[in-house]
Amino acid sequence: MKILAIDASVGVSVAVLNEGKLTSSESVSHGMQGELTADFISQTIKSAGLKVSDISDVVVGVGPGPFTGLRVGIVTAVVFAHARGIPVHGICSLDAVAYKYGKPCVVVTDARRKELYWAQYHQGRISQPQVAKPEALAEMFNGVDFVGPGVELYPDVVSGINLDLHASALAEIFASGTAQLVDVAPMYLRKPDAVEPTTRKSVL
Amino acid sequence: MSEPLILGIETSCDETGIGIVRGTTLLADEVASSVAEHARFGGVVPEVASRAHLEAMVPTIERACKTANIKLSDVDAIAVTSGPGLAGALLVGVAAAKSLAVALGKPIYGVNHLAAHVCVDQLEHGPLAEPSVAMLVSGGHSSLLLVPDITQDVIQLGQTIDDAAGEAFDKIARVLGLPFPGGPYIDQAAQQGNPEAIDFPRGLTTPKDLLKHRFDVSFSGLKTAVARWVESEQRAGNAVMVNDVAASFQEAVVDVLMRKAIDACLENEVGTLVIGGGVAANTRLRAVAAQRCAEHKISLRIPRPGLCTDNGAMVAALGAELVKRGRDASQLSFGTDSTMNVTTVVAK
Ligand SMILES: [Zn+2]
Repeated sequence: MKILAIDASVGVSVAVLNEGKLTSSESVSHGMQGELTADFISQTIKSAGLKVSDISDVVVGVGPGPFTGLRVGIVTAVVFAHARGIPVHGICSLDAVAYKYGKPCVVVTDARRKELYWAQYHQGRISQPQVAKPEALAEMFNGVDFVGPGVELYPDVVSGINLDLHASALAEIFASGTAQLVDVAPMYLRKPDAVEPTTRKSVL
Repeated sequence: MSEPLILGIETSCDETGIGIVRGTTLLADEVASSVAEHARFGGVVPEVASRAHLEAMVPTIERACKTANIKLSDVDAIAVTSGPGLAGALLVGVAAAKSLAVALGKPIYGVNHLAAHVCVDQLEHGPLAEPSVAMLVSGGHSSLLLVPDITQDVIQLGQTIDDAAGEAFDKIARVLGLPFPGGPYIDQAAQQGNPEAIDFPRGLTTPKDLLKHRFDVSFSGLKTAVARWVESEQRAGNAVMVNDVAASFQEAVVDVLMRKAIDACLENEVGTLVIGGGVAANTRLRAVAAQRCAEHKISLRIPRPGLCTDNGAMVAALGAELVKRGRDASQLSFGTDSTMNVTTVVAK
């Protein structure tokens, strides 16, 4: 198996797992997914000593995460797989952090608007990914390890171990055969901010 | 070498468009629109549009390849709208296009949406005259352009200083209780109405305005005038003559647009006018354009309505012209530009 893994739920992270050997490119800067993702794929495949046509599977982190970047990662993955005629697999992005941590934990990432995305893990993910206020999380999970890039944001409320979210872990989870696969569609967890006009507005 | 086979992707607003052309021959033009999802909000909601683009992308690419009877691997280059447009929507199309380019090992052209609107006419009426004057009118744009070379030299003569032409149609439709998008409904109502019933103002046409805004347009004064007129009728207890208001409003828009377009052709001594954008589907605009161009011996080119609205074929058409003329492709790291100036035809 030669796996191309892509995650754009936090920054941009691309990895190739070539028969157990990892090669990766990343950038944690937000909002550069559109510029960097394709370039990273091209570079990473080349650095792994492979050709595009060697890739056998695409794995993509489907969030949760800020929507704009998330969509870049997912559309990149599904179009690549379609163009190459290979399968694409979706994994909850938070799973990557829990896999690296290896112990029971709650993974947290930035959901903006003073909230965190989170999911609970105990030998695999045991909750649906959700969005919550840090205070609510602290109350719900007293004594549980918080891990992930989200612990840096509200250190007085939710503190723990800052582990980055890497696509390489998604590739490893998939290769291990233990992945909890999900639909290849963004985990939005929030509705679009649009309201239907209730009364006919004057245009003046 | 045979003519280049280009796949074009358009996602600047609410249409996911995939077009495939070989040279100037249109092979496929598939569009998935999310307009119905926006109707209840009375306008395009960017987040809703972006979500729809992602869902529609692979199925629309698949459909286009099937219609064109080609394999993706046959494509010589990818073209995609990199701006102007809704930032989040553009990003979905550009990411998809880049992924195709990497997966297929083909060059990519990030192109200007406005230039693509002009270039699409080549698919119907053959090579563009050089130079041409182009007027683009839609819900998102109102631009008057001088086009010496569509692949690298496009000059903006004028634009709207407030609402886009199509936006004015949407807003007046709402005042008149007609559905969104307003263009087709106003057009229909106007056909039963008297265009001379009410003398609505023609924006930026006084000698003083022309000094500063000779080729610019403005629709906000007209919009206000129509809304005031309707409200005063309602206050007086009169039934609003929707058809007459629609016809008189439309006449004012069309009159101003065509005065400016003809003036641009005469001033620049250009013998060809190309009209594009969704508002180019308006029957009154087409009729007045034909009449006034004939009076001034200007040759008029308007693509059929399906090619005037946003679509992937226009992007592919411009991509094919760029390849044919040997213009440089974009770097894989080019970005989207929601306010991309029309003087930039291809993103670096
Ligand atoms: Zn357009």
